[in-house]
Amino acid sequence: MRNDVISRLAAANPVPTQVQLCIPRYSPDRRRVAIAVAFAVAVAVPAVAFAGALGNLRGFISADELCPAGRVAT
Amino acid sequence: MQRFEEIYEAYRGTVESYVRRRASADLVEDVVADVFVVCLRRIDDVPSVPLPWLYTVARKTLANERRRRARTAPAEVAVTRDPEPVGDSALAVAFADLGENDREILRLVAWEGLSLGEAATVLDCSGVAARVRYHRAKARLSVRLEDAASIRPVHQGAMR
Repeated sequence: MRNDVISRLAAANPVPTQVQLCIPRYSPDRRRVAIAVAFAVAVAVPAVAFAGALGNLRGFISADELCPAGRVAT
Repeated sequence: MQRFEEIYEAYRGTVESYVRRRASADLVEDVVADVFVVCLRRIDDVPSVPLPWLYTVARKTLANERRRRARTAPAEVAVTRDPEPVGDSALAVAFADLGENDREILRLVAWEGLSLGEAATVLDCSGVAARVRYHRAKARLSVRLEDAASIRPVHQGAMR
């Protein structure tokens, strides 16, 4: 959509010449995408792996504990 | 010397068009002549693809000439107007409203047909910086054009 602006500006050239317009298009840099994915994996994998241990550490875990039916919210 | 002649033959017209798109007619001849004097003096520094380098020299020469004229004849400078987009008044107004850095990168891409890598050479910045500048400048121009388009119907209604 915004490249129309560049075409419009090119058409309004005060000294027109036969130049080949090479309009740069936005494309996410592959290297940046790869870095973002690697970072997400580096954060997510240990988080999942140690989630149980972390919960246990802080007393949130309820595994292997009996819970009276009356305390379960409906 | 032969290399200089080849460069002069090949790029004189292109450099002149570059200057005409940015300066009033009375400046053009002086600036183009100065660009090729610099080119002759520094022929060993001219890269194998000389056009972006010549544009850089032209940009700096033009800035120097403007400063010199502002010192010697400030009244003349105040009345002269730089070339603007033709045949599209809304675009001309929006374009004039941008800062000089925004205008220059848009001119380099839209009027000179340079890639962002070449524009970065002309502007003496990195390729990444040129890309960021270009996308921001384009976004600002789009916003100004949209603003102008949204204001116009109200204005026309008020005229009736």
